[in-house]
Amino acid sequence: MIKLENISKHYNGTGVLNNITLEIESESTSILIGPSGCGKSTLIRIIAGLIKPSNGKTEINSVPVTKKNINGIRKNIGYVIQEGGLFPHLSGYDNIVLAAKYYKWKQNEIDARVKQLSELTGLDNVLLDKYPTQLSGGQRQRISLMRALMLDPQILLLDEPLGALDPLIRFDLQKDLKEIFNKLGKTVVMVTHDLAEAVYFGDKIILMAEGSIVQNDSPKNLIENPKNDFVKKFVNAQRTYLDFK
Amino acid sequence: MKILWIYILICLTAAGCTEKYSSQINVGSKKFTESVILGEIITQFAKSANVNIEHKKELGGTRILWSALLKGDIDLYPEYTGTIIQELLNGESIKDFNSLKNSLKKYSVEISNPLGFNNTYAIGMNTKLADELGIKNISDLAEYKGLKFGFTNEFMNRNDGWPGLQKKYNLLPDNVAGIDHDLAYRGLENGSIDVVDLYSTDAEIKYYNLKVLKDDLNYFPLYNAVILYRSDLKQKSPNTISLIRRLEDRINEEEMINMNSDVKVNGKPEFQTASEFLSKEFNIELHVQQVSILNELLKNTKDHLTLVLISLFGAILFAVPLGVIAFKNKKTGNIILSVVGIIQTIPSLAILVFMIPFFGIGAEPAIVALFLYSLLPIVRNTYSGLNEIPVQIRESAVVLGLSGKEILRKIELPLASRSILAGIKTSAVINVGTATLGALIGAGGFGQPILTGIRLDSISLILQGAVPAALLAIIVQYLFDLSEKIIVPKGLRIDK
Ligand SMILES: Nc1ncnc2c1ncn2[C@@H]1O[C@H](COP(=O)(O)OP(=O)(O)OP(=O)(O)O)[C@@H](O)[C@H]1O
Ligand SMILES: [Mg+2]
Repeated sequence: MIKLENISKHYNGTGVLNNITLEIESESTSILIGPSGCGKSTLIRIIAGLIKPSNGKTEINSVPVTKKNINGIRKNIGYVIQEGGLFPHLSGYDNIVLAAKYYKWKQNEIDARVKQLSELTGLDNVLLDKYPTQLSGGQRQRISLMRALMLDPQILLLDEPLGALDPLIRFDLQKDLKEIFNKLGKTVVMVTHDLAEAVYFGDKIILMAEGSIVQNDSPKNLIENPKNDFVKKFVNAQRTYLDFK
Repeated sequence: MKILWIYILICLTAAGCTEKYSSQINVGSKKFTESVILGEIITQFAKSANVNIEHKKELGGTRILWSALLKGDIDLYPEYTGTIIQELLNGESIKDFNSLKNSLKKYSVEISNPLGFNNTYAIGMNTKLADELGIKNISDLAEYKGLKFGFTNEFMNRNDGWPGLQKKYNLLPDNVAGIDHDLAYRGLENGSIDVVDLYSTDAEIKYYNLKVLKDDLNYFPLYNAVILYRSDLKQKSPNTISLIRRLEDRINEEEMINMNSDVKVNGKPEFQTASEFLSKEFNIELHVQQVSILNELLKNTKDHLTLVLISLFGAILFAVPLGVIAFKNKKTGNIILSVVGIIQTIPSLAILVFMIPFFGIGAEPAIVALFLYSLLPIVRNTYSGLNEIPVQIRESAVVLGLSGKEILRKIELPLASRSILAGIKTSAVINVGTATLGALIGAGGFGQPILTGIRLDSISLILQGAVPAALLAIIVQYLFDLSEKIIVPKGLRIDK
């Protein structure tokens, strides 16, 4: 379980997150959504222990995220960002196995895990030897996901993982990703801009605005019982091709 | 890495030890022809008496030789009394040769008696014209108003030059022009100039058949040639002392002018001029062989590469970690970047001279100076290469749980490798060029023929240093471009 208590973050006096309190249940998928600049990435980076909140506490499985604990906690976190954040100087394979090698896994363990993951993500093995610049956006995201899953973490944090993909690839990956989530039973926190995607994935949708959580609810409730005008407006702002008359 | 450090230390100490603790005697000379000839005479004279002696020729200037003498890197060198009084013992009141001797004792330095010629400022005229007008002394000039005076700019402006001379002799010519030395001589030839300043042993006196006017009012200070030597030379090599004694009062102005012009005008090598002098004056027959151009080139190349490689390796080992520290800790980083930046602004010659009190003359001070010079490009490029890595990449590595050290090794340094390599390349190329200055402090290298070439006005000699230096710079660039293919990870070299 991920627990955030009164989290605030400000840079040089400018508030980015205000007093966020949030619980994310284990093995659930929560979607962070909201207008650009509302603090989604900041929040997910705080959960990943990449930046320190100005105020408040973070706990992961009842362990407070502190400098001392962070290394133990990180083994339990996988992180995927837009465009993958792959290391450009390493092949896909080396990106994936970097952490396992650091933790001194045996080669046969590494091989077995990579095989398992490429089956899971549906990545052609030939692509493992390619460098990130030689791969398409979708292939990069699959490798990025494999890298995040390599150590089999319990928590998966994804910051707009599908944000830069064209609609067709995005459609396929959404489907694959959902299957993977279902199969693995991870605690997933994912950021997206797309309400349809949020609804497709989310057990919970956390709608943010200007550094605060406006509504944290099931997709159904968010759409049917918007808490205020902002939520209503946000929901209605999503167009579909049916708008074309 | 460690092995390299040890290697460098061994090289440095070995270089230091072999020279300092051997019984070899070192003669120094300045970077002008007369000094080199005198150094060569001393060297060959001593060799004829089986003294183990070496000539470190063409060292930068008075200060460099004096420091080297005090430090023991050289044991003796030719100097001029006026220079000692004006530049080295500046501020002490020295009335005569004896008080000069006593003043030098404080530095454990001894002085020979004058060698027999005085190389001071002098006034010269076309001999034919002087004889026609019956001019022998400078004071005779006051009677001829129409003469055209052409003086070097330095002489025009120095207090002990034209302004003082004019007062002392009451000269009121109609026509005085500041002019370049070479042009002045040409002017004398074609009659556009009648009177010039010169040094009393200039080769040109003979070449242009000039008359040196007598300084009948004793206006110009004495610049008697002498030999300065360390007091401990008496114990180290009594032989050399007795040879110095034998050279006293043996070289007069005419002889020195002849030798200077043999080298500068007739293109005779200094060693030959020196051995002819020794054969004539002392009946000494020495067979000194001229080093072939190829051997000279090989030696210069070896010396130059030693300077560049050791200083560059040292700088890499030092500067890359400094760049990393600068990146990891912004406050320390600012200090590091400004300190190496300041070092870079010190003129290279000044750094070389600063090094002499600590490292003497030769390769060591040059290597240290080049090392200091190489720091900035490497530190700065390491810093900026690391700084340019996108936050997302770094954060991705952090989330994977890698330690800071591992991230540096596996992610940050490889990603910065291209920038770091470019910094090293810049340093290397600058280094190849700057190392030519090393010759000024006895480090040898391609600067040596350049120095000699400038001194003798010989383009071909200058090219013997400049061309290999330029070639080396090109080769260095090429090697770095090659090594980029090995050092920069493949993933960063793919065309997008
Ligand atoms: N290091 C920083 N220094 C100052 N301000 C920052 C910093 N990082 C983020 N911010 C600011 O914090 C706010 C929230 O940024 P954040 O990246 O969390 O937004 P976001 O919701 O992820 O936006 P987007 O949907 O565009 O990705 C923005 O206004 C941003 O400018
Ligand atoms: Mg964001």
